[in-house]
Amino acid sequence: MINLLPLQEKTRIRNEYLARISVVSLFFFFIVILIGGALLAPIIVSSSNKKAELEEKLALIKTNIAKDADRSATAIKDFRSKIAVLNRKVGTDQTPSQIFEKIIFEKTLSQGGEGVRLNGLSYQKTADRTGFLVRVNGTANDRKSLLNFVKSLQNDGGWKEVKVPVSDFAKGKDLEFSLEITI
Amino acid sequence: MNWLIKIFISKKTLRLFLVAAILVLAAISAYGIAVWKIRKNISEAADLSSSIAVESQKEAGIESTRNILRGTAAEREKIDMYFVSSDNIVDFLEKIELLGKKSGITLSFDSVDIPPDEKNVLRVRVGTEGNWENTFYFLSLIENLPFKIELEKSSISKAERVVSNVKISYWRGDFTIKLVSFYQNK
Repeated sequence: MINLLPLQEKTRIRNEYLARISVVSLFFFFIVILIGGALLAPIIVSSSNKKAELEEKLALIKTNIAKDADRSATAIKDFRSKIAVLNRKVGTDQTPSQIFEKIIFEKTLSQGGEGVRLNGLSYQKTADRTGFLVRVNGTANDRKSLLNFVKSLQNDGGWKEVKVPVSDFAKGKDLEFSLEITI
Repeated sequence: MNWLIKIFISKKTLRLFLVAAILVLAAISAYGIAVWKIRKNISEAADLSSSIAVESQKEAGIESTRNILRGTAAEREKIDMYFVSSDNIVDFLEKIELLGKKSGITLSFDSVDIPPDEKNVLRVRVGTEGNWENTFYFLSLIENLPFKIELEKSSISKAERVVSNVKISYWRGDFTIKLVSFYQNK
């Protein structure tokens, strides 16, 4: 076949041909990518859904933990504070009734105790609220009976201090007295 | 540019080539973004899964604490019985009144208050009248109430009253009860 086309034209046609093949290839490649991308779409959706689901689950667990932990901590704190209250030492080792009984017992045992009559017993916190004070009021037939009663209390040793005003011994008979016992 | 077109390819082909190239580049970018997005989602899902595992362990720990609390509910209820709440002050006062009746004395409440410096304390001041045995019995009953109580003051003193020109001796009691096992409901 006779070659009638000049060389430049031949080159141009060949280039045109190659360019069109490239264009077709590019379009083909574009379609392949498009199909690939379309296939990725469900994966994106499912992975996003899965992520959202996990986020929701984590948020729910965290909320539950916060709520339960708070509730449990409150219950434990409440329980501990109640135990602490029940274990707290209040008052004296002896109850007021035991102290009163002891004083009456000492009166009965003391020599001439029948000559001492009690008119009042009181047990209360000291003014500084650190200790307890017991006041014993009454009358004694004579000085000896009162002295014996006071000595009997002092010898008991269950008290820190037993105080009786000296003025209580002023009268010879029917002495009114007011003792102070510190516990 | 024109000489390139003249030598190599036609203008139409070049336009098609450029459009195809732009489309391919756009498609590649979109594909890349899609792949990046999937990888990101997967990685974040993996992180979330491990966080869920950690939180689930914490939840299991808390659940075991809750089980212990559930298991000790009966014992804790018993402990609660030793306490008086601000809602049950009346019940507590009625208990004291009942002890008064039981011991055969006449009783009156001089004051009932929650000290401002001690919010979880109830202070009750009780005055009584009766004979020595009954007043002493009442004191013993108060001391043995099933609550944490501190008797801040216990006083029993002899008193006299004139009724129809007859002197009647009796014992007057003055008791300040500090209820320590007390709490105020919020």
